[in-house]
Amino acid sequence: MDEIGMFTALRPRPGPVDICGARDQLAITITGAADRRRVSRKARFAMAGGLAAAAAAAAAIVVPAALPSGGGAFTGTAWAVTSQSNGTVTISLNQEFSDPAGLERALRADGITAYVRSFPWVTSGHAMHPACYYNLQNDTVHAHVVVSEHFPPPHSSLGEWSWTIRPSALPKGSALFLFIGTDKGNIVSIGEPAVLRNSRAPVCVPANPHL
Amino acid sequence: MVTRVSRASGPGERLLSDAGIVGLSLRDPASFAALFDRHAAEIAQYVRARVGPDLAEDVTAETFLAAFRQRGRYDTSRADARPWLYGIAVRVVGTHRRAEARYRKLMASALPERDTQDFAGRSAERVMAQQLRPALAAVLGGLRRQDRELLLLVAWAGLSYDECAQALGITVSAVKSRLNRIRVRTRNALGGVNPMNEEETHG
Repeated sequence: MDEIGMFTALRPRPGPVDICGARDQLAITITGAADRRRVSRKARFAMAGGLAAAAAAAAAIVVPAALPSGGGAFTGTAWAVTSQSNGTVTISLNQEFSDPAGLERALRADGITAYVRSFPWVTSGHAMHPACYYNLQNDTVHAHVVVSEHFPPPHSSLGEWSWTIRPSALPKGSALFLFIGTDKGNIVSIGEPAVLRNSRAPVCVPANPHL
Repeated sequence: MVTRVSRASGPGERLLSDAGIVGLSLRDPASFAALFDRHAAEIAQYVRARVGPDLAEDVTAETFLAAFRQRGRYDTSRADARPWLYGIAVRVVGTHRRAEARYRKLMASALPERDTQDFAGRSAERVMAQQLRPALAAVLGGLRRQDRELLLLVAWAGLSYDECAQALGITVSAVKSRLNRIRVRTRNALGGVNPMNEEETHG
């Protein structure tokens, strides 16, 4: 064994590394990059046809109690919380999404401890990435809260995301977490709703600026 | 060198090299996930050895996010992306210097692992090397950062000289020359002797 080979003795023994979270982060970034091409088209559509919705936003932002119920119609903030008689709740968003705090309050008004966060994406060279990351690896629990979900068709000009959740499936003391990545007012990524182990607000850690 | 290939999903399955996946991902970003699935476990183990289990997942994630962002600069004449990924991992580890140094010291001060099964399977050379751990750890800690990175890519990741050159962006002759310098330094630190060789070398 030569001198270089001796250093293998210093290598710590291999052990488990959970790379699921790493894959999720990559998937979010990839989704954002793929969506960015569609987003530019969406932005044009929104400017041409979405002015009415934007103009109506102000009234709804401050009136979270006046949420649509049963009909699923959007408020001007481009999100909706709809309670069903079977105890499920549907959360819907569209490209004009704004006022995450309002959505958070609306969910809390329905008895769901929730955090809704919107975070910016930044452009670096020809690629985009989140300006910060939520590292939820040790803070989430597996709970079958999401009953069904709906995403916009891949090539739609304006789409809608929605999740129907069962609040009773949230473990005691936990919180629902929705995180939405935006760029210039457009949604570029949406994480699958996560269930936080406790009701502590998650922190978005800035991405490394040197990479 | 073994060229790693795997099936691309979907209709019209075909075999793609790493370079093929990276090239494809420029048009179809989602295909980059295949590169993660192919190499993340290996890179994660290297990262774990460098920064410890607590940070391993984060550093692995940063590595692949950086790779995704830099994929436009990938040299697609290189079929195997492992050296490129290791090079990025090295840079990401470099941004966690304090954690890396802390973990290295911790490992250096730890007692040699005494797993019976593993111990029984070790060669006498490896057992000897374990006894030299404190001295080797001191050499490792005293190396210039770029030399340490090279040494660990060879000794811990098992990269060839050519792969190390790709990973670190240096020439193969620079790799050889740096490794020779490390050999001499190590020998000197062990009292001018390589205890792994029957023949003693002085100098």
